[in-house]
Amino acid sequence: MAEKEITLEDLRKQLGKEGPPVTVEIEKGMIRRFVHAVDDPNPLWRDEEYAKKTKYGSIIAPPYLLCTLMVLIPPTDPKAPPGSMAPMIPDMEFPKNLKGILDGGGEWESYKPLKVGDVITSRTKLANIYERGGKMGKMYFYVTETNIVNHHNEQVAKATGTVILYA
Amino acid sequence: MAEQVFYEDVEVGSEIPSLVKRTTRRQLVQWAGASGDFYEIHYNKDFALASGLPDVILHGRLKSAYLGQMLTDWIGLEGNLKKYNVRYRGMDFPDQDLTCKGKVTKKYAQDNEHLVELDIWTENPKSEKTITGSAVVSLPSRG
Repeated sequence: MAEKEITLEDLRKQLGKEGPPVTVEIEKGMIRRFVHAVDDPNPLWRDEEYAKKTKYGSIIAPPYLLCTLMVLIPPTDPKAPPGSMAPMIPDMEFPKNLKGILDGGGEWESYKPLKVGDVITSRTKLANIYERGGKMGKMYFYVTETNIVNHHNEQVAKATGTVILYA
Repeated sequence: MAEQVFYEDVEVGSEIPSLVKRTTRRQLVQWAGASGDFYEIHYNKDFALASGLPDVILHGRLKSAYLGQMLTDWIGLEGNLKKYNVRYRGMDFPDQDLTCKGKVTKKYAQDNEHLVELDIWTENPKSEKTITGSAVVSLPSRG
């Protein structure tokens, strides 16, 4: 018997599903690795003496470090499509026979600078799934929303990500 | 560092200083390590070719970080990058110039902040836009 096709309606039953909290400490070494990879010479991310004289009082993380919050942990879900970026929501259902996955884009909103020593916790939920036909076949768009708080339980950032799955 | 830009200096329709990034393969490995995005199409050429790509490709989020660098360079110490979003529209390759650009679309004061909105994008050597997006920053005011 042929396996039953998973419909968009089935997939959308998981909307609102939330992943476990993921906690990361912002450390100098982490910031250094990011700014070296980007080749960003801004002394605010690099030079403690310089940063001390600014309104921040110490080195901060560049805001683009947020871009990667969804990929700071390794994929945990064996059902995730090959090459998938860490789905922070376990046991997500995906369409069958996927050919590939692409990062569609994202939005990052900062409310407070990320300082060395901040311990930030992100929680990601599945906000939307929709499909579109394209030249390459059917495309499924998975939209996640990540809320990020610091160790004082203040909201420091919010992120939205869109992953495109090709079937 | 460049001199601090102020809200009053900004004109709607004007472009901000562009930033040219030429990514090395080493940087792709560094970014994989820093970000945890170890998808092989970004650093293993055999894997990339087997996936039908002409070469390894840049991580979308690395390119987003470049746009972030352009914005933080421009707003200086007294500005804040409040929000930005990107849509990935095309692949980019190492050892090529990728130019980050931004254009002011709106400026206004709100809740004691002086805000500027911009369109932001990256251009490949053929002047094709490989990322499009927008950003909101706050700038200090002389007022």
